[in-house]
Amino acid sequence: MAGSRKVGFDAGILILILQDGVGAPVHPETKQPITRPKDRVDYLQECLSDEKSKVLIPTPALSEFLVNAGSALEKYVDDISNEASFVVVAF
Amino acid sequence: MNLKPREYRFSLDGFTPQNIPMARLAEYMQQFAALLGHRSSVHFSRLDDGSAVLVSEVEAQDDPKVRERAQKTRKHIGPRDAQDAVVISDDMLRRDNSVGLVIEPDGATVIEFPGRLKKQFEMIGPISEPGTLDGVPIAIGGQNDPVPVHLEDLDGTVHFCEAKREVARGLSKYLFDDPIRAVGTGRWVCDTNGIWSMKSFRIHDFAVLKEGSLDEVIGRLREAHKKSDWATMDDPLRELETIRNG
Repeated sequence: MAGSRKVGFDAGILILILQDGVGAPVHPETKQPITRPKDRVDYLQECLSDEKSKVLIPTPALSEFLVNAGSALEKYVDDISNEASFVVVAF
Repeated sequence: MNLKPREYRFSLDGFTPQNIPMARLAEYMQQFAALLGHRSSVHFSRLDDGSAVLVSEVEAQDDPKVRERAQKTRKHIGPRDAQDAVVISDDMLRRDNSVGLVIEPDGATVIEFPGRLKKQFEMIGPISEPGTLDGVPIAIGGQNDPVPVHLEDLDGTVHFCEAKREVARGLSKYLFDDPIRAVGTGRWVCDTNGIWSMKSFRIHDFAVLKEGSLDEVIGRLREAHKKSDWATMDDPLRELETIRNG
């Protein structure tokens, strides 16, 4: 049986994967917008799904993300906390 | 059609066929076999000169599976026994003051073993760290309090935990059945390879996990996200940058 990969998401990846048309993050070295961000996160999701990977969310990243959760807060917390495919981890 | 078998090579720098002790060679062969897997299709071919080079032949029909296994192992997502074989081989090479390579039939290096070149870390621990552990309870019992609890994770790894009787009683409802997320305190050690491993875990509480696929969960989160404040912003990534850096 293959080992399940664990991959960390920060708040930026969460936003990119959950929301369409948010623009592109800036590459930290080139300072240029990253090309085809939607295609990249879609491919990332496809790979992680195929590999049955777990998504790790460090608590600082979750805190950043929840700042603007609005009325989605309860649903976010319920799904992220109680699903086997997501794990909140201490930083 | 009879296809030619494919050769995988395990090069052991610092050894030659003449000076490698037979017993040590057998140990390296054992780990090489564990790394490649598919034991009925993988055969020892010969020991080549230069450095000692273990050559194995893989029956052509199973070569794609062997290649995938080796490549996944290089990315640290291979089967547990293959990943263990890499760690054990590397430790053997370090003790033998050697380094090694596994080379695919097309000549590409698939796995490098730094062996003697690997930085040695100081052993640390055990230390206590709060955390969570996911798995299905497969054994609960014993006369003492706390009682031993065995959790089997998705990889098939069994984690040896313990829990107070009251918590263990609650866990027993999910024995052999539902995955749970145990919340508690782990005891961790760091070995000389710099790898942290958990030696024990005390379960303080737990929750039963839902087993939605990643796609299903992301689909639900996307629906929920439409009600978030992020969804109303023109540039949520810029807002995130502002949260981080002001």
